[in-house]
Amino acid sequence: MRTYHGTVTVFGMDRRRKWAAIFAVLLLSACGGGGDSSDSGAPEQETEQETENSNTVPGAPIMLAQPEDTTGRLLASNCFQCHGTGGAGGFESIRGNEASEVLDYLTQPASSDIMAAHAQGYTRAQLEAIIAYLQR
Amino acid sequence: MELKKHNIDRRRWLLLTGSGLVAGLMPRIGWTDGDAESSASNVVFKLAETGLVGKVVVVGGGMAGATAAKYLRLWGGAGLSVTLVEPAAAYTSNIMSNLVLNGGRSINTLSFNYGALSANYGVAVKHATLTSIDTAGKQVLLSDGSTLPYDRLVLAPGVEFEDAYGLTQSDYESMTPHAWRAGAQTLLLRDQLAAMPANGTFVLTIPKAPYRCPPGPYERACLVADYLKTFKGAGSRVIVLDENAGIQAGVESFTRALNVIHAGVLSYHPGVSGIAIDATSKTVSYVDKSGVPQALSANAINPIAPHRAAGSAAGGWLAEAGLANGSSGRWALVNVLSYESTVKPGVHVIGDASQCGMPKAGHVANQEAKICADAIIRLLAGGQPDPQPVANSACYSPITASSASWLTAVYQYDPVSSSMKIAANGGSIANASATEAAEISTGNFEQMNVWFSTLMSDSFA
Repeated sequence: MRTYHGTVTVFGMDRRRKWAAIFAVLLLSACGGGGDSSDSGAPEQETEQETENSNTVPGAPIMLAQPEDTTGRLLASNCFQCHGTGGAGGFESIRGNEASEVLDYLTQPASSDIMAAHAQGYTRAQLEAIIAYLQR
Repeated sequence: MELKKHNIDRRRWLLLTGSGLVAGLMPRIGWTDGDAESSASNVVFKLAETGLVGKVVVVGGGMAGATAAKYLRLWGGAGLSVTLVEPAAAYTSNIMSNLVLNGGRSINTLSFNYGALSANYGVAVKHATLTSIDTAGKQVLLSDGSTLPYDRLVLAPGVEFEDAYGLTQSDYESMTPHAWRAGAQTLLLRDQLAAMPANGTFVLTIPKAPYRCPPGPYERACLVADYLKTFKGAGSRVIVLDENAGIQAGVESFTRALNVIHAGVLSYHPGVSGIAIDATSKTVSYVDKSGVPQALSANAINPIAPHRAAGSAAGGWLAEAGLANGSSGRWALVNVLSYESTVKPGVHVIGDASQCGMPKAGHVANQEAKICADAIIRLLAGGQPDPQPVANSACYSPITASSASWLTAVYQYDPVSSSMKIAANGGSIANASATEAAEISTGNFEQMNVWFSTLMSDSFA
């Protein structure tokens, strides 16, 4: 989850996602506090929000459902190495409204940004299938 | 400037929340900490509800095997029984292991266990080694004498290293480590570097392709050169003997490292043959690309020994099962739509052991595993694999202790050649090549840490 902030700065881009990122953090934190599954020892905070989701306990991962329509899923999974399983994190979340931002990279020089190089390896139809999947 | 922006974010976050909640969350929402142990994803997706029933055995808990086991359950659902067979309690990542050599990372930060695969996805983990495969009877025999039946078998065994250049496995373990599988040999090589005398000589050899991680040897040469000139004197030398005709990946970045960044320390000799190494006297002889015999003495020697699919040597389990049907019997040939063996139906081979036309590297192995998992799920449901799979490779390489480059490619399926081809310019495979970073930078180094922690979470958590 820490990487939501990293994402805003990593590419040095002029997008302003701070509020969206903060909102996402709040949303996710409301679903269980986002504990690491590791034994890194960060103390979990008991919060009122955590009780809203009976599936989670402090320290447990946040459980999210997957889209039932799997069209584009395998294509979208190419994003998960850098944006987290389901596109939920890493450099930045690419779920929902942020999914279509990949199109902005089509006009940038490939060697200037690893995301531009990546985006340009897909056909327009493949990118649209990826976006549609991530928006479900 | 980036950090400043980050701090503003943190302050805004503090202002927004201003409660005790913050104290618990802040450690997890800052800039990447490069700590693998805390990189586990916080978000876990529920298993798909497919109604599918079946048994899949995955052999090998590296990048490919772990990812396959996870995604078979995630996408295949709870009715798909997945057993991961792996002797070790934890995987030690090869990615980033060159940074252990210069003290940039502790090897503990490269360790990933299988607890999250079990807890989050219900993968059954069996700590054993594979003894043999009964492809006709669709079962595997394990070292503890037990058998596991399967509907589909996924093999992700990685590589084994050959006795080469006059060296044995014992030499690699105690005197001249290849350190090309992260672990004890990584630490041995680190200690040998630390014990180098002032202005000493380090020799690194690179085997003929294909080998694991095409940019990896050049990355290592750069990091060793950086370390030696920083701590052991500007007269230190890193001599790279490459059995290949030239740099195998990241040519622009590594050429710049050779000619500019590490000029005078790093010397590169492509096209060598006949390498012979005496581990005791630490001498190396070889034939240079002009056919002239050469000899040199070193303070430390790092032979990246030639490797092959684990079990593919004569008498090995992969060979015995008839699966080592790739080039020179060293790799397993697969159909890249499903990673199913071209000779043994129901058996899939992913990761470094397969011959699939893509680089042998962890990021690629992760995507091969997803294509394979998706194909198995479709096949078990009575369908066919995705006819147009896409895979990708992203790779950051440190060039110094604080700067890095990157190399990336997207691979599209080419139905004409039935193989994966690099694509660019809107997914076209015409004249496409991998893309390298325009700059070697500290920003890339920071991105590298995010890439690593996210990739490992996608594979192991």
